[in-house]
Amino acid sequence: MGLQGATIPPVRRPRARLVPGPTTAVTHEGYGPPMSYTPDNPLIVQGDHTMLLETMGPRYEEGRDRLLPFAELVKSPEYVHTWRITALSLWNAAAAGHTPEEVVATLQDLAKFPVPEHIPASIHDKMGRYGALTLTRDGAYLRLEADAAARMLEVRQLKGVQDLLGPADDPMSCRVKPAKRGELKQVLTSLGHPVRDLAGYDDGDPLTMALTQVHGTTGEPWSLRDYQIDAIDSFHGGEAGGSGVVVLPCGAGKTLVGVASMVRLGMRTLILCTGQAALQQWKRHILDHTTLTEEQIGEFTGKIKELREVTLTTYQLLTWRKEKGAPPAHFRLFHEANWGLVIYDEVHLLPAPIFRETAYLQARRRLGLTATLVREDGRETDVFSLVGPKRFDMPWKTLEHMGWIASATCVEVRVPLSDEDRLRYATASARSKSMLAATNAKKGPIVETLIARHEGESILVLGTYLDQLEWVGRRFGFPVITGKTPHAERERLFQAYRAGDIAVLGLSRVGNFAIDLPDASVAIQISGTFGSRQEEAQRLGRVLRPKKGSNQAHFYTLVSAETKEQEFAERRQLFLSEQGYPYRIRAASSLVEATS
Amino acid sequence: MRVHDRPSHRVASLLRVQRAQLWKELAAVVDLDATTRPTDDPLVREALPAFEREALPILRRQGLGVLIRYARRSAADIEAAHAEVEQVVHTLPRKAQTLLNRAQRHARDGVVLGSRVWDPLFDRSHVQALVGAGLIEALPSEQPHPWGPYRLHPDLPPAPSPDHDFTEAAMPETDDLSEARESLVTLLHDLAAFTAAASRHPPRRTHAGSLDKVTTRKLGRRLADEEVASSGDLTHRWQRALFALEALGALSMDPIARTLSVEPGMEDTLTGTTAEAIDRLVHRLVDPDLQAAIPAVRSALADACGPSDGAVDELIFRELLAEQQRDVLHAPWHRDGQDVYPMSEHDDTGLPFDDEHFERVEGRMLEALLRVLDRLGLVRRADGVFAPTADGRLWALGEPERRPPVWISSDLGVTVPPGSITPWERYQLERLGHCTRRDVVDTYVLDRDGLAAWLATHELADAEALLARRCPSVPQTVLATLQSWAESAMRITLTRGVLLEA
Repeated sequence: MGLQGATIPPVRRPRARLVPGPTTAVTHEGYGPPMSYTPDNPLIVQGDHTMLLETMGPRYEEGRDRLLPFAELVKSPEYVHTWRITALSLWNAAAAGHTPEEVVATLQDLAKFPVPEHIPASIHDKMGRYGALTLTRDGAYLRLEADAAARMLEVRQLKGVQDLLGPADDPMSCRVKPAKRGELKQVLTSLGHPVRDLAGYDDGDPLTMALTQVHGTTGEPWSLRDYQIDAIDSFHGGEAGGSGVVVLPCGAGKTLVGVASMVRLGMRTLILCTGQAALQQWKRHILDHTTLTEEQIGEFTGKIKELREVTLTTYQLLTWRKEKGAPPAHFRLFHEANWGLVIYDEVHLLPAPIFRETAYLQARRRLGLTATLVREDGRETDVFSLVGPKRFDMPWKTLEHMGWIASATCVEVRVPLSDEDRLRYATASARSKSMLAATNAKKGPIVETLIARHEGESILVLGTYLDQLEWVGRRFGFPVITGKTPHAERERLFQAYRAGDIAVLGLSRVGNFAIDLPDASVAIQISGTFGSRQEEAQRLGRVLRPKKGSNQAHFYTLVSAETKEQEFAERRQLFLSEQGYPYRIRAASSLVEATS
Repeated sequence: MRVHDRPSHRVASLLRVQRAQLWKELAAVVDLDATTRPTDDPLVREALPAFEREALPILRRQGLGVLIRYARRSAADIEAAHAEVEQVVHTLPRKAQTLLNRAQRHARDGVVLGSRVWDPLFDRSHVQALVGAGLIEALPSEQPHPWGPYRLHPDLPPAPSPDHDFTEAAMPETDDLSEARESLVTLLHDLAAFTAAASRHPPRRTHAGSLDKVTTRKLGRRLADEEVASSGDLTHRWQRALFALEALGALSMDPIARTLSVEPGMEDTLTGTTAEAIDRLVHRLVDPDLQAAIPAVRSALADACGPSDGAVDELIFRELLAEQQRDVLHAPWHRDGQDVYPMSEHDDTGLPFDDEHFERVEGRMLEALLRVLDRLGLVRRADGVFAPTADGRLWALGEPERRPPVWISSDLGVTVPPGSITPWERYQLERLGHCTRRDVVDTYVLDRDGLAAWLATHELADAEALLARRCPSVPQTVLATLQSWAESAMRITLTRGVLLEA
């Protein structure tokens, strides 16, 4: 054959082998090329900026604590919690002093699988925007400063911004009229350009007040909890202290945080509440925990118009209009006094028109209190720009673990229909089906069973159908509060319940909203339209208070089995499970057997 | 001995209720006596055709849901059938068993061409014995038998694997191997998802041959693919899945509605472990002439892999294969005292069935097989060498020991990390729930409609077992919810295709 015809084989070298590290495994499974997998790490970062945090691993608590500053908790059922990084959560983190490098390093350190490539760049981009625009005071005017001329040029060309800016003094800054402060921040933030507001505040009328050391009503000593002090410090501290949102779960004492923040500032204060009951709760807290007298606290409501050093009002009152199309009649309240602090209770429910008015309050200190930054209308960026960034956040699991809120178990009790009712249900119209299911006569004995089971505890019975609720109240001997109950009678019953003179109290939908019942440990819902997530959270908030003794709360829902009510109950199940509450489904028969 | 004939049966639909009380509810709405007739079981009535035609729509309007189910053989029935057939196989002479095993290795969809697996003259008596035992059935064909096609009994036990040893062919990987192609395992998972989605939202073909955008958008929502859901066009990954289904012959189109549906047998392709699914898919995609050599290549890859990366010397592999399984692709015919390659019925002379011709005949076929396996992403090749890809390693060695767990939470969410489930499990999950996100991990939510669709052909216990297989602990709430959905769905059931004795 000879050399000419021989085929010279290519030089071959054995391939260098990849040696995996001690804690890194390589998945052989296809579904994409093999990727490294670190089993002990708790976090999975998705390409859409959501993150899944595994709760069963050894680094879960570390992961949770490290994510909290820059991510939002979306839902927390067992095993896997879902978090989300948004522009807003990153701006909140930047406002608190965190850097993009820290955030990326955290993700990479905790990640179970490699972080998608575009995520670090996205974090740098979003987070880098906070601080790029700064608002400072310049004599009678304000000055908007950019970190680069190109950014100022970009900002000036944004739609809706030009009219809000004054003449440019130099390529990187321009003047802003104080009246445009809020609107400018709102527009820029909504366009993805958050503004760091360092322009300071106008002080309100001074008000001398202090926190007491004993309860005004009982004389028993009290003190702020550590996390409440931290929340107040966070609100007041830092270069932009004095505006922002404190996030604490239901039952954690947000009202006291508001009261103590007000006392620390020592200025005239306007407090916006969600309704009359919440307003009364605030008033009770102020009188119980501060040196303020009743004469110094005013109620600005439909019936009373008291403008005092500390004034309480409601969102409904503020947004009330004399006629359709007219401006809200009571917005003047914001300007009628020299307020030093405006507190927005349950700021996630802040009505849209108030945002507009809040835009004019930027020179006043503003405190938002809420259990969640998530709004049904998606206007979280308006809360950020007009009320302020998140200043403090503590997950309810931590508070539960510390014993500050009760742990709650949710139980859905499936109650069968009688044979006769089953037949009627089968032939009923869709609308009648709902009522038949909700007013199932067999629910009555279950209520009796549960009341007996929790004898000695304070129990709320919640319902939507008034006839049913009143029947149950008469049958088992407890009072019922409905929308028809006069206010004075309502207050008397609340007081008796708080004092322990009444162990069981029935509530119709009026019970959804904020009322202060610190010793309620059991809630039995016999019927309900289940409404929005806020209503569910509010209902649970009624029972999630620290209890003497076991610190365990119970939330029962009675559901007619194999009916539309059962289908609707699944939505509640999903919501409560997402929030991390243990959820059990039990047959009514098993409940009765266990008790007998 | 032969597989016994079954007594004659008739097919019927049975209406079943959970409690006798429910007959009253039904009777209050429809005329049960006219549309059904009683059986021995007080909870069961036989549904006449009029029931589906007239009574079902009325019941649905009144909110009385009737779950339609399809009768399936139980696992016990299947096992009994297999045992029966296996017993018959064991009574056969060894030569007949050898021919049967060879037929199984060469069969495609249960059908094999006789001339490929036996000598029509020399093996005629054994073939007749197999036919007589009911284990194979001659199919109508222009080719005379035993050259022509035969259908194998569906309950035959799997053929024993040939005893291969290719360790001598193992060598270190070289640095000139080709790059791995797109992952076959990824394709399997995508096939699983696409098949499940298409069963709920069948796409429609336009007259131009493309997919209709409206139906494709629905498909996209079901697939949790925002791009498909908004554009109405399949992305590359789903297009690849669709092409694969076409290549498998698994798609059919309704001539009037022009909707595409995937054959029920796709589930069989995906069944089992990932390695088994890969193997089944490869068998379906590879040319029928080459498929009998697939186990040999798989064995070679397994022997090459060992605990670390390795490759196979192709020349040594072919030599060893010729020694260990000379009839891997062709069975010899005996003519004039000599072994020759199979011939057509009109041919007189055959190629000698020797080592020299193994290289010329089987060698080229093996080369063609390796090319296909390279295109499928199971091997990487260089001149005279082939090595497994990651998928090929999985195919050869089986499932990895360490899998990330699947998480199931009380909000009915299921979180599926990469590498945690097999394609079959994904197919079932895509039916039991709906995908909400495909990303680094995929997330699903179990839903009532999914369970109802599941119960059409499976039992609740199967769903519970499926979930429990991969999740460390399924929350009580999830099980209770599935049970209540099942109870609700199965209050009234109509099972089609039930075999009743005539």
